[in-house]
Amino acid sequence: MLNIHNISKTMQNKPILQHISVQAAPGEVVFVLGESGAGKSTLLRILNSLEKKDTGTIALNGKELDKKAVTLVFQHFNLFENLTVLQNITLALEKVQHKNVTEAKDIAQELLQKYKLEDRAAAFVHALSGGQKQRLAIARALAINPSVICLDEPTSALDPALSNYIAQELQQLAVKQCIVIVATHDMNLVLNTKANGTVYLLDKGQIVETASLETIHKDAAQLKYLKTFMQGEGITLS
Amino acid sequence: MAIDMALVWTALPYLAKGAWITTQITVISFALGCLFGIVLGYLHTLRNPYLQMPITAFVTIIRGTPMLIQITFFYYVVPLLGIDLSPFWAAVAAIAMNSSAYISQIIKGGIIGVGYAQVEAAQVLGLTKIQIARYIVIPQAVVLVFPSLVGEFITLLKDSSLASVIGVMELYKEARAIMTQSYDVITVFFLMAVFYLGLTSFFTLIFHAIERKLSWYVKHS
Repeated sequence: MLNIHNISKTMQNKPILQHISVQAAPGEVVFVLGESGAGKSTLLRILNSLEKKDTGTIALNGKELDKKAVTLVFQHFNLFENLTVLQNITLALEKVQHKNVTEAKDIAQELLQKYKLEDRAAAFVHALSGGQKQRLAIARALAINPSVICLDEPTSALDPALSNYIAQELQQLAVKQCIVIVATHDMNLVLNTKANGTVYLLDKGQIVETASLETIHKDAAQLKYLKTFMQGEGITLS
Repeated sequence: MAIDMALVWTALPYLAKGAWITTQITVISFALGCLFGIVLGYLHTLRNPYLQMPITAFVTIIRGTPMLIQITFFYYVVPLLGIDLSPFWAAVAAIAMNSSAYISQIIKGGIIGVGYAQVEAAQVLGLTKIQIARYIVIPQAVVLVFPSLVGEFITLLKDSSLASVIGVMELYKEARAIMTQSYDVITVFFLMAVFYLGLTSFFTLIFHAIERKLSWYVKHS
């Protein structure tokens, strides 16, 4: 169980996150929704130790979250441009998890096959399409077998038609009993994701509304802030 | 004002020998300069005042003083400290030190150009700072600044003629010796120009071939 408790963060005297508390169990997808600048990415960066929090605690199964138990799929993927598709995955396996070359390669090949990239193993990142980069970024993150996987705006760099595909990927990650945390402003992604989980609507660094994914799928119209947010995104509720 | 072909044939073996010494000085100095320059350039990008201050001082002193003085320093002053160096190795040490100062700043620019996103991507996978530098940042930085490194190599090749002042029989020194004996300034200068041009063209071609090999992953923007 992931327990994010009372996280606050101030940058240049401006509050970015205020008293954020989020809970998630393995197999759940947590959506952190909000406009640009709401603090979604900062929350993910704090979870991944890329930013320091001012206050609050982050615990996984009752213990302080270990850096190695969590990873992040970046908005622009941040794939290693000097490495091949295969090496992007094997690097951390060999250098961080100290697996031997064959073992690391086997794990990578399995992931490449799962993410339909096996024929691109020797290609460099610049030669991949947006969808392939997204799949590689997820495969690279999964290779280290994290308990918590964070995705920052997973649909923003992709064609809108791929939103449904990403929703399926999120469902797959949940099936693997990962805790999946997604920062997004893409409401279609939330609506397309059929999994257990919770949506936290963030506004100016504060959680203004919380609802289960089930509630959102059944009757989002009853949620005041979410309804306004969806209208802002051009989604009309019946 | 004509080229003396007889002198050309006589001088060729001596000049070829000198060109070989010039090549050795340049290649060894450049390799050492790259090694220290990459380390210094990387350390310079870390926000550590205890590292930045001495590196800035080193770079300022080396770039602010002539290479000629640095070569004579290694030949005449360093032995007073108990380290005896042959003219060849004194020249190599001085040119490598000079080159490391320039290369450190080239590499520093390259590291900044790689961008922090690559570093963060490696951090979330659990790589250490040294591993991030070794496997991600420095390989990309070297590719980014490769043309500047080629420029530095070509400059070193020409500057290696300064080794002649401490008696190293490199290309310029061999040519001067032939000039002193033959008094045929035109033929010797012509040959010297051909040799230097040949060396710079040869290495430029090699580096261009390497650059083409390295460019596989450079973004086509």
